[in-house]
Amino acid sequence: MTGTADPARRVPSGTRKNLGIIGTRLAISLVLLIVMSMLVFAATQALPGDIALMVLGRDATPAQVDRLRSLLNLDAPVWQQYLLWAGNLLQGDFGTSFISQQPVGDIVAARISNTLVVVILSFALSIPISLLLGVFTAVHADGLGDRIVLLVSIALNALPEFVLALLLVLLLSVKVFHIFPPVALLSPEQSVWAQLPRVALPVLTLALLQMSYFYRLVRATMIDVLNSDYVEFARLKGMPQRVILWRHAIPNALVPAVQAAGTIFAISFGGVVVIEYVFAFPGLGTALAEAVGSRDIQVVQAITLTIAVIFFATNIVTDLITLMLTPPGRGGQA
Amino acid sequence: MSESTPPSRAGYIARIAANRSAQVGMALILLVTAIAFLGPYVAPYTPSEFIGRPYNMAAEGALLGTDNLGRDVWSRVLHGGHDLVWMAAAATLLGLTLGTAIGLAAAYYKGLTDLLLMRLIELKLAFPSIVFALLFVTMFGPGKLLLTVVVGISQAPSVARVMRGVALSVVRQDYVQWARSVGMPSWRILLSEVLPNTTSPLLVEFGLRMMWSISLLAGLSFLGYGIQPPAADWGLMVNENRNALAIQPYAVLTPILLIALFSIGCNIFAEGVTRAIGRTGN
Amino acid sequence: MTMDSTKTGPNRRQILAGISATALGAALMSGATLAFAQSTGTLRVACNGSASDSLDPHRTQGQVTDIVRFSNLFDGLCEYAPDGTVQNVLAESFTPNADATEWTVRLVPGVTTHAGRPYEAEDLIASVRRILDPEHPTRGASLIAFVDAEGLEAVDAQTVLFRLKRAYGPFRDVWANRYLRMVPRDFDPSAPDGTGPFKVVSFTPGRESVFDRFDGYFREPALVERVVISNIADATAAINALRSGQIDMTYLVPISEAAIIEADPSMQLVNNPSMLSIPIYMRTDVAPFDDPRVREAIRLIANREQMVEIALSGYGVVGNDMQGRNVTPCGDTPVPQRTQDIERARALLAEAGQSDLDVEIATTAGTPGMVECAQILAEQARAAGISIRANVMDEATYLANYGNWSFGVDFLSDTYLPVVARSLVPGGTFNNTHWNDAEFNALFERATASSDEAERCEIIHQMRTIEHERGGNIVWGFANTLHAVGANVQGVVPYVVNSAFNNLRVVSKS
Repeated sequence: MTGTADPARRVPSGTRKNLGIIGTRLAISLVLLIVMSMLVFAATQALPGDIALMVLGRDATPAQVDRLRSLLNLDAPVWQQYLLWAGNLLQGDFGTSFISQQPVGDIVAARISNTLVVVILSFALSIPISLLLGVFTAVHADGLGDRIVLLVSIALNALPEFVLALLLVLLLSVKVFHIFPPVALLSPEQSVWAQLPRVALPVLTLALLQMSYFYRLVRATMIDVLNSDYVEFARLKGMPQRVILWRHAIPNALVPAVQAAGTIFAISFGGVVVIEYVFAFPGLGTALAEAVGSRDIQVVQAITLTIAVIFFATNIVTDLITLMLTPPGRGGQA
Repeated sequence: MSESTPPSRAGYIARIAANRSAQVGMALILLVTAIAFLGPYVAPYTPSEFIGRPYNMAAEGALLGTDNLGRDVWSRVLHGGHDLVWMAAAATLLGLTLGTAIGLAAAYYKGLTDLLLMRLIELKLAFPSIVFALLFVTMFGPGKLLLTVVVGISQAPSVARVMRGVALSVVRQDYVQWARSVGMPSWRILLSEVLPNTTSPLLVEFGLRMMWSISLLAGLSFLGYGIQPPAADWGLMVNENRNALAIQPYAVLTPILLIALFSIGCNIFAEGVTRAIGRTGN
Repeated sequence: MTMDSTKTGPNRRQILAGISATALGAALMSGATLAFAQSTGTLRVACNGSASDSLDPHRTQGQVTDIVRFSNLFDGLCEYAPDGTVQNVLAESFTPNADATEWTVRLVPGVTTHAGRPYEAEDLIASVRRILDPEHPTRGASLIAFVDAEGLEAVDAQTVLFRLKRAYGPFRDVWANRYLRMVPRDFDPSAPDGTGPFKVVSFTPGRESVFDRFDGYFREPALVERVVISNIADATAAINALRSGQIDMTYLVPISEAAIIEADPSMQLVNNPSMLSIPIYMRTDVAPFDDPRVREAIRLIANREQMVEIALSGYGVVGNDMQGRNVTPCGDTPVPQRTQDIERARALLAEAGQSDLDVEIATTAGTPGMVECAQILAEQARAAGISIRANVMDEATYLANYGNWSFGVDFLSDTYLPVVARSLVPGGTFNNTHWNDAEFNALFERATASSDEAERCEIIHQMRTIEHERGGNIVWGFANTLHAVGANVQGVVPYVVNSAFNNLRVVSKS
């Protein structure tokens, strides 16, 4: 593995043992979620200013602020506020945003589905292309093609996200070509699927970033596999290159790609604030940043927990897929 | 998984020094660092001086024109790197130190320590770095030290995971087991036996983490949570002037170019180190 | 919602060309609606707002999206014409008693709400009480604090008698304020009924709202059938969206792009000579600014031309340390323009024993120019040998200590007397200078009580002269509010107060 995956997460063979491990993982994740909700709640308390000030703005008199604070229960001790929130959550109630007066669950759900569509589409672009590029550059390692692709991927990787996003806007929508709309102006009244062209640029930005990462993993693994004794033996036996690639090399190259895809999938929920911002894309990250800005604690809590749940769930699912993809007998090799 | 005794440290460094990519990467890093640290001495103006109308490409005495407040872009470029460079370097070193300490401790002590440390890391990873940073910046204000520490902490978990993986195989080596059996204190084993054998993955991590630090710092500046005006800073310059990309491209493209060169340098360096030590697999 | 079905735009092939032979291609085909040119019956408007958006004209945070929305859904008794004069809307007439302590307001007959109910005296009374409701603070409350909520009386179905707590001369003008829009009795912001030229179709806070034309509007109905208001926080993104035809109008324009927009035939720049001042305030009740010599010195340090030139890219005018870009119809206040005088500033600082003054100026990105003017003043202060450091904060942090910063930047957007009520007399929520000048306060009382315009103008000139001489603000300039609209949009004119976006009724598209 070239990536940064946790070796502790290496999945041993033996299905029953795996189920046990996954059960433990679930339990640990739950504990971590609780710890996180407390930490985040504590952190929001330490922020200067509060939601009452934000709701009332510069016009407010101290009396009005005090009244709103007690209305919103902000003057209760922190632990009481937390318990109240946690109690509601256990009953499936995320609460209502103080700021927008909307159920927090609705806000989060809309943002998740937007992000989900964009991530799925970007994966649909980046995974097949990365596999092709990875295999191609591994087979022709150190050739001209390999070097060019590597250089481009290094450049893509090195540009800060917002720079790539801004350059794509200039190139594809406002200056050179006029192919895609520059802003992801999604109407909340329709499903994202019905307005796909509007997310083309965010999808493309994410896909390019993903590719520059995926393909290098695939390439590295492929080189390993192609140099292995096993493949050497198959080659000596006269097995055609095509068969070696498809039957032996590529299945192995998939494993790290899946791990990486898992990591990127999780990061895309909340971790790409900058890209969302450039395209005015209504994703989880900007919603969270805005909620921090307006001190909307309910929303901050709900989104951070959602992001964490997605992170833990992705890890577990990734491991399951890894397990399924790992050819028998090469179990520990992942 | 091959577990042959790694070559000596001197051997690694010689191999890295001989690698073309590592050389190019290092050269780029040094070039940008030189601009960042020597720039202030050769800049014609101070970074906050008004020398003309905003976004004037033809302002007299301004090589690259003026920025959004009519300040000299060239002078601001020359002044705007050292904070980014030292903050990225310091944050990366902090992240590496912290991550290595956690990773080695987890690998060495195993058991409960390992479990707790790894869960701690998972907790941090489940929280997006950029949001983590802007939460702290909102809390304490965007001080340079705070930004450095926050970015450093954000890097630690990934480093810890990698270092733990590396250390696990080192810890299994005979010489470590021997040191343990003769009762050498654990901190000494970790420092003198384990750490030296993780140098090369550390170097790779340095390159990668440096890139991430730059990207995160620049991203924070871009969102307005980084270094604050009127300071000259490459990330901030992009943010301040990006509206005017069409009329004053230098104010945006010059800092982008320098950030990218620095970042690419780190990336190529990491790539070169990886190749030099043959770390393609584990 | 079927509005997208009417769209035309670049053909599918063009889009596919950019991403040929990928999985996305197939996905895009399935969702074959395109986002470019829009049908002419729909006006697409972008504003900067936040998740705190609401459809409540009273309980609002006052962000642009809210103002644009409720200004088009609801009417006031009066409104501002583009030149800043006040016109009647829902009100037909205002009649004071002899000492201006009671006003009789007659409503225009035959006005109906979107739901088809007549708009009557009881509705007006309910609205005023709602604005003044102490349980739910509103932005408009301080503007009409002189109204006795209990003393409101419906004389008949069309007539309301206002009994005031004290005499108030410019009574009619107040009702043009954007925060004093009228709603029906039993108003429910979740299903808002109003009298305005548009009615709500859908609304998602922080994202988008869709309004349809109200055909039963009592004045000329709107020219477009539908308005879609989208939130775009980033000015650059909004301009890009306008440039590519995704939207027709954007409220937010980065000042730095104004010159480009003016030169671009596909867009029009709307340059509003707004009553928007960005004062730098100094607390007159704590050191070091309690010393008038220090305040005078800082005022002399400011190079106002440079501030307007740089912070506003020239889109604005220089101020003379008194509020009000103009005080129409009173004419200019005869006070010479204060200009930079570093020598005099140094002398004053030395006299006050503050030659090595070192202060922090609090600011936030509330409106374009707020952050920049603090930076510019900081740089200008170097010449006088003192140190001013700009402390740029996020909005919530700035608000957490609002009213207590000893030195900072604020913005005010209103006509002269309301600005005074809010920021220059004790009790004003924007009185950051904590200025409490007995002579000035007395003049203000007289100005608001007077119903004689000539007398009021005379008093206003005296007030502004005092402000210029010993106030706590550096009113360095007034900013123009800039919008941009597509070349095919008609009916968007510059406004002195408010904006064409608040009156989308008269806007059309070809």
